[in-house]
Amino acid sequence: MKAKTLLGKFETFISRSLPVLIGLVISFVIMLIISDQPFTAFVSFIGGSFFDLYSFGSMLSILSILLISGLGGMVALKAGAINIGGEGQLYLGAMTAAVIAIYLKLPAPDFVVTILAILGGMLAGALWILIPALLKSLLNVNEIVTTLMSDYMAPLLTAYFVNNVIRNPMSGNAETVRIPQTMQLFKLLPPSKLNISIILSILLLICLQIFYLRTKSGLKQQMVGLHPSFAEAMGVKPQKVIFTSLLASGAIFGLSGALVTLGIEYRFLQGFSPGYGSLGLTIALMGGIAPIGILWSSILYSVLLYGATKMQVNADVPFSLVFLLQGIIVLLVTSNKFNISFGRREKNE
Amino acid sequence: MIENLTVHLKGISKRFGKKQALEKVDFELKKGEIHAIVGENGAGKTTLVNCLFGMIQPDEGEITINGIRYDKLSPRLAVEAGVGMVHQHFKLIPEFTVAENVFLGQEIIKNGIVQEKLQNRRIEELSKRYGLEVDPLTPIYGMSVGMRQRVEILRALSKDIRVLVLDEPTAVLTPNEVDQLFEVLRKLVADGLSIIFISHHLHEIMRIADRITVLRSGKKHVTELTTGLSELEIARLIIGRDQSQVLKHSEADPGDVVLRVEDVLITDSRGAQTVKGVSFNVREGEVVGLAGVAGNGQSELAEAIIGMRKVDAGRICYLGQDITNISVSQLREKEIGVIPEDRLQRGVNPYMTIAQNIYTGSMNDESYGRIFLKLDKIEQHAMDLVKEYDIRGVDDGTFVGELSGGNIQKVVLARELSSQPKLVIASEPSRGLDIGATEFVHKQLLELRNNRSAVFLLSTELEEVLSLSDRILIIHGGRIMSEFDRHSIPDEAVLSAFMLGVENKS
Repeated sequence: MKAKTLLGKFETFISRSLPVLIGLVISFVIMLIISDQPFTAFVSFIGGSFFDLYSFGSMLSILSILLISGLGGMVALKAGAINIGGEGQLYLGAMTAAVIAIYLKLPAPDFVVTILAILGGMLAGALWILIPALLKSLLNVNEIVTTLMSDYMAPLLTAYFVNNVIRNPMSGNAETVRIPQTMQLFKLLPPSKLNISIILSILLLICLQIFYLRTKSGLKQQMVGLHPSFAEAMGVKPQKVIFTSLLASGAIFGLSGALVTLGIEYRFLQGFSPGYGSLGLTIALMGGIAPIGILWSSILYSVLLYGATKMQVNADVPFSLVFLLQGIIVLLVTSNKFNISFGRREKNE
Repeated sequence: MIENLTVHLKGISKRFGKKQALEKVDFELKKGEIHAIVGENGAGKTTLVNCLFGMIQPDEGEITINGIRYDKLSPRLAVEAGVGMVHQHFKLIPEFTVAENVFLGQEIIKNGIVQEKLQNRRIEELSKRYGLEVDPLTPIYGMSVGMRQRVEILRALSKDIRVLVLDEPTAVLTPNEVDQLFEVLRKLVADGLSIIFISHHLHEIMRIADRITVLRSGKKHVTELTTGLSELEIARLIIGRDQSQVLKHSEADPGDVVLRVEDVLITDSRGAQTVKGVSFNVREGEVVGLAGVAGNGQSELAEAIIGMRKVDAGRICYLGQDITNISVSQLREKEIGVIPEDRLQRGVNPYMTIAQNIYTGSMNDESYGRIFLKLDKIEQHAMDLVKEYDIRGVDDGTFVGELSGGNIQKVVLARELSSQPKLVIASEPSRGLDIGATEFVHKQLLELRNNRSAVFLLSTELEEVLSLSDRILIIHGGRIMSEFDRHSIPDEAVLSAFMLGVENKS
């Protein structure tokens, strides 16, 4: 019994890691072809995050954001909904946090303002998904389409505001003024940007793990996600559950954006995100739609994202290689997933 | 070979795994006749016509169509041989127009361009000739079921066919639409076509068919002329097996009314009224069985009682409280156990563990936790029930989907019945189960009844209803045709006649 589960765990570990390894081998081959110093490039790519404490801290600061985004993607998927608009919700959350911290001039202590900015970011993220969520639960409009459409609007909308309404006149970039230092999130490993977001992200992970494993609402969410017709027969309303899960997903992406503004960027900058939000769905799927799995997949992505920056500096390989690698890994992981789910379906019939 | 035979099937046999679906069936279709194939569910009617249409390859036997013998028949060959089929479930694309659907895959093409005008004209010709009025340019969605069936028939007729097979064509139609369909069929026959007609409704067969062939568990029982047969005789031919042995149970001692259904009207999702004024009640300490051929309103009635379907009119009361159109979650707070018809869709969540599946039935019970779940207690409760209900094949965290059908049903029973509910609604509780599991289910239901629960049993298996019920209601076409108590049950042939819509004259 025990041996069987251990073997099973080893098998899932192999089947999850294999696509990553294959992806790495392919990217190394590509480096061999296009680069004059493929080994330097490859070592920076894989190990760039571990060269020194600063790199490590920077990698972790990316991890805190990606982990939260991954969890945001997961929350919708658990209830059987797909939120493709994570990037949009992240942009709205990031801008809202900046506006609250910089322009509202609230008569409150700085740390309270920071907290309000975070909450405001979450609210903005939730509001940005409100229309898709309402359409889904009231009229059963496909949420993939509506969240995707809202995803296109968000970066452009925020770009409009940051260019025309809240632009820092002294700057050449389309960005706001900086957030006062007292409102920035507490740094854990200066001079790197690692801040208390990493603690927040781990806390969120633990909370969600408990929510899905140990609470009645968590069980209801999974009932709807796994088998809606049965949930309905047990008196759980799928529309209601999906509505709340989409709102929560939007709020978590908004949180992600607020933390970027308050802990990494210290301002809102047009087009600041290298896909922090859109990666959320990929990370959630790669992590098997489970909190612990998502921790691993977000670590992988952070290492690669930061490693790509290093690689760009140390060798002549462009950053965009990371997107190529990402594509390959996602392709392999998803094809692997299909295999697993087909196997399971056959068993049930 | 006899000249005027359009179709001649000789010694057709077909096995599906362990089940002998057809055994040496002979069938003859004369030119210009309407030939009905009748039999109980699973008697092999659909399998037989699927063999004729080339959708199923028989294991042995000869198929001769219009004097040509076919060794290997495919749907394409069958069409070429002149066989057209109207399936029970329509295969139409809702977004396409009538003409596009009729000529789908066989468009009239000239120089690579579809000749729409020609197609439309052809449809108009056909519809005028046979009285199948449809506009070729109307899209399918928004059309009534009867109209859709016309399109299906047109599609069959658009090819040059000699034989038209209709698989339960009237099941979905209103009486008016049935009349129109029969008129069309008569015109087709007058035009020299032969028709094979599958139906459960005896009075329709009496009206339209020239001959009937009765299938009984895969074998041909008899082929007879319809004239000279009464509905009752046909029913007897269809059932014709020994009276089932009656499961022993003690005399019922019915008490207060637990479930009362009054003049309930229900419209199904297609907009057809499927339950047309049904009234009955179920008392504590008795099993009331609702027997009927599938699709006569039982499913809708059961769904209405358990809150999954809205009632247009009428009242449903549980212990004197009005529970008409209440929500499922409200219903689950009451002491009502529900065994749903579709086990894998509504009975269990195959992707969750046994403990989770059992707990989901008592989510309103706060002793398992209000917000945070007491997982140990849930697990323990489940393990107790696994023992009590003898659920087999259970490891740590086994997903319900990994269990066998009988054990899955036991999970449903454990969840729904272990709390000794006051009322049990059991729909097809033994569907797809083997003998052992069926017996287990039946014993559970009788035990509940002996412990003063009220049991309402809906089943298309007449034997099941007969062996369990203290009172039997027979439903046909959304109405209760008759009611018997245990001591005055007529023989099965008479019962079947009622199930097939013969009026109760007593």
